[in-house]
This record gives sequence, C-alpha cells and structure tokens, in this order.
Amino acid sequence: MSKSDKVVIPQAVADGAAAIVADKLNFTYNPKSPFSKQALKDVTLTVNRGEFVAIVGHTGSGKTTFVQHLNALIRVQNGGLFVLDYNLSAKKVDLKTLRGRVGMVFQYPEYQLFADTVLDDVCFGLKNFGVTDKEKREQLAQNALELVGMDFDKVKNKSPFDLSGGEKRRVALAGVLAMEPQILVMDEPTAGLDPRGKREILSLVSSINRHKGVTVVMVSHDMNEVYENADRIIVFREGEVAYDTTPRQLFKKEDEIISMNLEIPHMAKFCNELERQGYVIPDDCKTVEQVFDAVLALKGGVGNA
Amino acid sequence: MDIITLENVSYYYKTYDDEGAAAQASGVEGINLTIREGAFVALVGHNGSGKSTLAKLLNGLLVPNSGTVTVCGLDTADKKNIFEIRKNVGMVFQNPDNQMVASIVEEDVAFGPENLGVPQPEIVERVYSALEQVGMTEYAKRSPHKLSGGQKQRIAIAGALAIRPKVIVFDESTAMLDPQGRREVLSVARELNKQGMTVILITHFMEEVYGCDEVVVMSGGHIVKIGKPSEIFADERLLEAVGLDAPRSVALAAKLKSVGFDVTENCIDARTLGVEVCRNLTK
Ligand SMILES: Nc1ncnc2c1ncn2[C@@H]1O[C@H](COP(=O)(O)OP(=O)(O)OP(=O)(O)O)[C@@H](O)[C@H]1O
Ligand SMILES: Nc1ncnc2c1ncn2[C@@H]1O[C@H](COP(=O)(O)OP(=O)(O)OP(=O)(O)O)[C@@H](O)[C@H]1O
Ligand SMILES: [Mg+2]
Ligand SMILES: [Mg+2]
Repeated sequence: MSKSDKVVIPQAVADGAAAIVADKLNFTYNPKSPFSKQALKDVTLTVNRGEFVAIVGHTGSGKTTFVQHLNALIRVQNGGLFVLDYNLSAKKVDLKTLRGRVGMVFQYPEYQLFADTVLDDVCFGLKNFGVTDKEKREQLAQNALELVGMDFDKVKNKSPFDLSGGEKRRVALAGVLAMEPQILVMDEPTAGLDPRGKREILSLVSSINRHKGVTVVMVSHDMNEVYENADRIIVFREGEVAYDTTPRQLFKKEDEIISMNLEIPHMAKFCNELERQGYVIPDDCKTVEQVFDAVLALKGGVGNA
Repeated sequence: MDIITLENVSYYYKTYDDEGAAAQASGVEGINLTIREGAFVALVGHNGSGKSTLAKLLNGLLVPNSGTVTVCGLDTADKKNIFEIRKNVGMVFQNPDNQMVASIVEEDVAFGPENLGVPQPEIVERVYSALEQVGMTEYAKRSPHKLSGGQKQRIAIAGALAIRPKVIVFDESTAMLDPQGRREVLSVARELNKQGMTVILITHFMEEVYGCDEVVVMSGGHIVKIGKPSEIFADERLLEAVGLDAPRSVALAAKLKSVGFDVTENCIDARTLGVEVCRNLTK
C-alpha cells in the first residue's frame, strides 16, 4: 500500500477476517450534470470471509451499483472499499487478478455472453486468468457446465444466443464458477430459472460456500430463496443500508418490509403467526421441512402437557 | 369462442452440428391447444421447455414447420394475415430496459400504433387510454429510463395495449422485478382479463399461477398437462417429473394434511395457514 493513498487498513481486513469492508461508500451517476443521481449514500458494511450474504431492496435502491464496485466494474468515487486485500479506493488496482478472485454473475446474462459457442464462452475467462492448456480448459468448462445442469454435448457448440433465457443464465454462471473465485458475487442469479433450476443452483452455491469457504454475495428479489439460503440479509433503501440482520429477525418486521416494496417469505409469515399466538419456533427454522418438523414438535408438546 | 387454436404444431430452430453442417433443434413438437376468448391461461415448464417458442408462434414471429396456428380465425402461416395477427396479439417480455424505444413515455407507447399506420389523433387517444389502463397517466411526459422496473413494465404493457390486441402474452414479464413491481404487473394483468382481454402468462413463479383459469404445463417441447392450478399442484408426481414446485405455503399445507391436520388444501396464504394450524394445536 503506498503512503499517498493515506488509508487506514480496517482491522478485519488486516487480519483476514473480512472479505469485503465498505466504509461510507458514496456513488453518483453523471455527477455535475442535471441528470445526476446519487445511487449510494454512506454505505457501510462488512462481509466476513466464508459468509453467505444476501442484498435485497426495491428496484433502483442501489444493489447493482454496489455489487459492481466489488470487482471494480464501477470505480470508487468516494469512501473506502476493501475487497480481500485489494484497496479499491486506491488509484491503481490490479484488475486482472482482482477479477479472477471476485467472480461476477451479471443481472442480465445476455450482457455477459459474447463468444461464438457456449464452450468458448466458458473457456474465455479460464484462458484470460492463466489456464494455458486448451484441453485442461475444456475439461474445466465441461465440469462447470455440468455443475449448472447443462447437457454438455448438446450445448457446447451452440451459440449462447440460441439458448432459452434460463439456459443463458446457467451458461453465464458456469463461466464464473469455472474460475473458482474466492468471492462469488451474483446479481439476481436465479431470475428466469425454473423452480428446480433455482433450487439446484442455490444448493450448488450453498455447497460451494460451505465446503470450499467461498464468500457469497447474492442480490435477489426472491425473498423466499434469500430467507432459506443467506446467513445475513442487507436491505438497501434509496441507496442506503436500511437493515443488516439475520433472515428470521428481518422478516419479523412485516409492515416495514412491505413498505419497502418487499414481501414476507411464506415460511416467515407462517412462523410469525404462530409466534403471535404464543408458540415458540426455533430460530434456525426456515425451510418447509424445518417448519413442518417444528409444528410436529409443538403438537407433540401439546399432547404431553 | 376459441380465439387461438394450435393443431399438431411443431417448430424447429436451424442450428449447426459439430462439423458446421445445418441441423435442427426442436423448439416445440406436436402441440395441440385451444384458448378460449377471455381466458386467463398460465404457461409453465422448465427452462428450454418451449414456452417462449410457443408464445412467438402465437403472433407469427415464428411460423410452424408443421401443423397450423389459428389466431382470431387467421392462419399465421399465411403472409397476408401477419399484419392483422400482430394487431391482435400483444407481447410483453422479461427485460424492461430492452423494451423501451423512445425517450419519452408517451412516444414509447405510441410506437406500436404508429407502426400500424393508425392516424395521429387516434394514436393520442390510444396512448392515453392505454396509460390509464396501467395507471401511469401522470408519467406520460417523463423519461421511461428513470422509472422503476415495475413502472417500466407497466409502460411496456401500455405499449402492447395501444395496438388494441385481443390477446396479451406476458413472457416472464415479472422475472426481473421487485415484489412490489411483480404485484403491480399481476394486478394489471388481472384487471385486463376482467375487462375481457385474453391473457397468457408465462412464469416461473408458481404463486402467480393461482387465480388463472387454466395452467398449461410444458416439458421438453410438449404439453404434458392442462388443468386448474389446484389440480396441477395436487399432482406431486407431475411436479416432480417436470421440475416444478408447489408454492411453499401450499407444500406445507399438503404435508400437514397428510399427518392429519385439519387445514385448507392449496392454502396460498401462509398467515391463514398459520391461523388454522394454531387452531389444530389448541384442540
Ligand atoms: N448508468 C446509469 N446512469 C444513470 N443512472 C443510473 C445508471 N444505472 C443506475 N442508475 C440509477 O441509480 C439508481 C440505482 O440503480 P441500481 O441499478 O444500482 O439499482 P438496483 O437496486 O440494482 O435496482 P434493480 O432491482 O431494478 O436491479 C437508480 O435510481 C437507477 O435509475
Ligand atoms: N434461436 C434459437 N436457436 C436454436 N435453438 C433455440 C433458439 N431459441 C430457443 N432454442 C431452443 O429451443 C428450446 C425451447 O426454447 P424456449 O426459448 O422456447 O424455452 P422456454 O420454455 O421459453 O425456456 P426459458 O424458461 O428458459 O425461457 C430450447 O431447447 C432452446 O435451447
Ligand atoms: Mg439491479
Ligand atoms: Mg422463455
């Protein structure tokens, strides 16, 4: 770190506990023009290494603007941002290695795909980030495509533009997973996926998170999936962090959630009603199966009393 | 009265095989379907099951390789019908940004009727009545790019309405929206249907399917089942086979019922289910 940057490295970054530290991050589109728009206001948050964090919020709340900072697609205008051990507020950032470590799945997959064939598309990143052996690249690409549920032989020579919406989404994700990033940033990765695809992709991402320690930051409008998968949820509202808490705690604030254009996940709504009527539901109870078991336990308890 | 009829319809995309020779990829195969005027039909199925292909066959964007598609009595394969068919079937797609063509909302909505050669005074009238229908009149002079996703989609719907179609197809028009935007688009779709419009809703959100008259389930380019939402979600084997999930609240209700709880089947509102379960617990 050069002295001229005059930054204090946050403790959590220095001792390797944090994957991302944003400190009063501000961003304005088209500054100094009559169309200027402040998209981020004093955003301060920390994502720990190995965590699965979801970012939610109404359209235009600044989610994409924030996550595009994380691999320097958008450069810091004002405030502090550390990602892994990169100081993204510094003038010079080694973009190439950063982007190998911070994989980004874009909100609109059609903006991410560009090669002539699906195989070339997935191989592109690998080549760029140093896998020089062609056969090795193709093997890694095949693995990644199979991980996201694509029939490799059927699609490898297809143009990515000749795929259905959900298939494009899967190929874009495969391209990022193939590079084995340390941080996986996904901007609405399951929009347009079929229900099974959503489930499979999320369980894949969860397992990469749990078993490989990859830090996950996922933007989503699907409160049900966020509820079940994230360790922590950060809510953006008009460019600011409005809440930063656990899924169960967040969705107890029903009226506030609705007023922020969001919705209450089914299982949260159900558990909130039981709690209102005096029943106690364990805090880690979020999926249909978990809630079902909790209700059975309550029923058993009532019988025993 | 039937407004859309598909008889044994297949469509194949042109592609290339490993050696670069021309080949075919199946889009949809052997589709038989009739849609009643004024119906609200949901079209669901896994990624690549043929939903968008089917949608594009309905307004002549694609014409079948075999079989016939009839819309308002017109054969889509007959080139001289194309104009009339486009007037009758409006489409709204997924990405709200890609659908905006002009820099002012009213111009954007006017684009369709202008292309159809509608005279100017009538265009103005159509634009304003379409904006009214989607509740966006006050935004007429604004830039569409500064609107929220849900608002952009409502403008896109107004654009489709301005051509005065009899049928409107929503191809995952809620996929990129926040929950509020999704609610907005759905309530516009329901309202249009109440006014007599035939609505075809393509979606991966199973909650949205509730309230439709009929659900068409596709898999691998075929229609595998047509039924009421309650029938579809009660058929666990079908859901498993085609990769769909019942909404979580409905799934929980089914599990509870199976172990003897007295709860409403197909309970789409989790709070109601909670109230019912509490009643069971205190019994
Ligand atoms: N390139 C741009 N130029 C000008 N303004 C922009 C640009 N991109 C985004 N904005 C504005 O900045 C704000 C934040 O946008 P952003 O895309 O970060 O929101 P978001 O939370 O990702 O929304 P969505 O849920 O719709 O994806 C919005 O008001 C948006 O209109
Ligand atoms: N332009 C094209 N060229 C070649 N094949 C195509 C093309 N468009 C779609 N396909 C193929 O046709 C099949 C049906 O695609 P379609 O887009 O109709 O699916 P869909 O049900 O709309 O899927 P999604 O839910 O992902 O949007 C898929 O196997 C797809 O790969
Ligand atoms: Mg966004
Ligand atoms: Mg589609």
